[in-house]
Amino acid sequence: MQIDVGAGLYLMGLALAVGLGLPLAVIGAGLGQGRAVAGAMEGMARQPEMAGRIQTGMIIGLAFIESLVLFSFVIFFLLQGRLPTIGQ
Amino acid sequence: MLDLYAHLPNLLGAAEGEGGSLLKLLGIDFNILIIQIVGFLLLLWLMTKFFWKPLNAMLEARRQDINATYDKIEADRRAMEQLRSEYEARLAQIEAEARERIQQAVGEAQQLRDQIIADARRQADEIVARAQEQAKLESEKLRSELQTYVAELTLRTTERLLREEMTDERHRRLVQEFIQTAEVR
Amino acid sequence: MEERLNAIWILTQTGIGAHVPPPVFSVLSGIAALALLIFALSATRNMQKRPGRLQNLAEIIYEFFDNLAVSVVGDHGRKYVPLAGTIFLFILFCNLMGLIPPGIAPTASLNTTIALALIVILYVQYEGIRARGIGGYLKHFARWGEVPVLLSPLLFVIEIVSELAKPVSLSIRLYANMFGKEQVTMALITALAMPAFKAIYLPLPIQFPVMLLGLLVAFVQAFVFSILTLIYLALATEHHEEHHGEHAHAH
Repeated sequence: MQIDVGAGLYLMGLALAVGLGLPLAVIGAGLGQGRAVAGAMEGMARQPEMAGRIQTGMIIGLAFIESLVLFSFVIFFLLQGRLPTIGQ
Repeated sequence: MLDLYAHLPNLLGAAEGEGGSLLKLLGIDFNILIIQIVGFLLLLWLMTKFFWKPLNAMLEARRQDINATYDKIEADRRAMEQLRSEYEARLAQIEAEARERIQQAVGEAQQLRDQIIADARRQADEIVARAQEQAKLESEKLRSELQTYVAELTLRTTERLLREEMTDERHRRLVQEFIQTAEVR
Repeated sequence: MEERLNAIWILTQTGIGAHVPPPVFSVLSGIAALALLIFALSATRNMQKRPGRLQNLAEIIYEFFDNLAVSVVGDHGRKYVPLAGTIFLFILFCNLMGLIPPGIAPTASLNTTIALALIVILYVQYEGIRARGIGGYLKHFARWGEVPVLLSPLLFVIEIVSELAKPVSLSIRLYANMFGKEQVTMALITALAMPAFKAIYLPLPIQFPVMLLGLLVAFVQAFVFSILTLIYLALATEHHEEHHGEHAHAH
């Protein structure tokens, strides 16, 4: 089996991207969702009568943030599908 | 130069086992996609027809029912209120009437009492008057009887005197007795 | 059968979603749709003024979407209740199918989610055109009258792109959530069967916490999809009322 340098670099970058891409996205989204929930909780504590609407808004916001992670999750799967087996 | 892209088809093939594209990699199949679209539209139609519309109609009917019930309750309450005030008025009227009637009866009774008392008094007066008159008649009768008796007595006495011998003393005594009798009268 | 390069092979090896042929998903979503229809029919069959349990549940669902549509879209939002509600219930049933064996959710396939997103986004455009007319619809994209004239073409392009991004984000959000959940569940199920653990194989249900999370995700994602549908509809049709407001203000 013969692997040239270019293919080696390519595979290395691919492996790193597969391994690190999703965790990076998760870190960012986690921070963002934390802020969003904190803000929403504060709002609910200050105005309990608005809790329902704040909660709905919070869930939508969380869904938007989460979808960013999920995009990177999809990318992760695309990249991971490109990882070759040892035999190749 | 590094020949990165030369490996790409190869790598994609490794993932899918055949020459794949992005759509293939994501599992997108247009036939299935169209089936899903048609299927969901069918579901949407059926759900609208058999779920959302009947529910809407049901809830609308119930809302109207509740409204009607509340209206009816309100109307009933108003009618009851009216009836109550009517009854109250009638009751007050009846009470006033009864009081008036009682008053009237009392007045009549009073009148009757007065009349009875007056009658009684009149009758009593009459009885007294009659009694007095009777007594007067009686006394007059007695007096006349007495006179008759006295006269008879005097006659008899005189007879006896005439028959008997008159003594002076006896004469005097007789005169005295007579006088006494006369005084008694 | 060769060994994979790294431990991620488990995911591809065992991940059902990656290897299930697409027709299976459409059969499964047909089953979900049938289940939903059976629920709907049994809930609305001989409805009474004093509701039974099932009818009560159906009425709660209806009231919930009625309130949601009115609070998000406004008074004319009532007519979107069937769409938003059906989307919610269908996605919910599909998501819940991922929690019962064989653990394949129809929504873990892009075919299903793209179909839903396309329907939603095309309906939104239709409603936008109907509410504003073709001219108003295009003007809305260019933000005509709201920004300097020179900026309008740029904004037009941006708006078009963001409109195109809506179905993409809608479909991928739902797909990736369900697919990811299934992948993690399957990975945990098979983790104990990995060659390294073969010697001490313990059939523990370590995927159970993830399935509980999946139950939450099933409801949240269905809700998010349907409320985003309503929000997009509100954005597409709101200008109508705004215009009236401005008109009144000008006088």
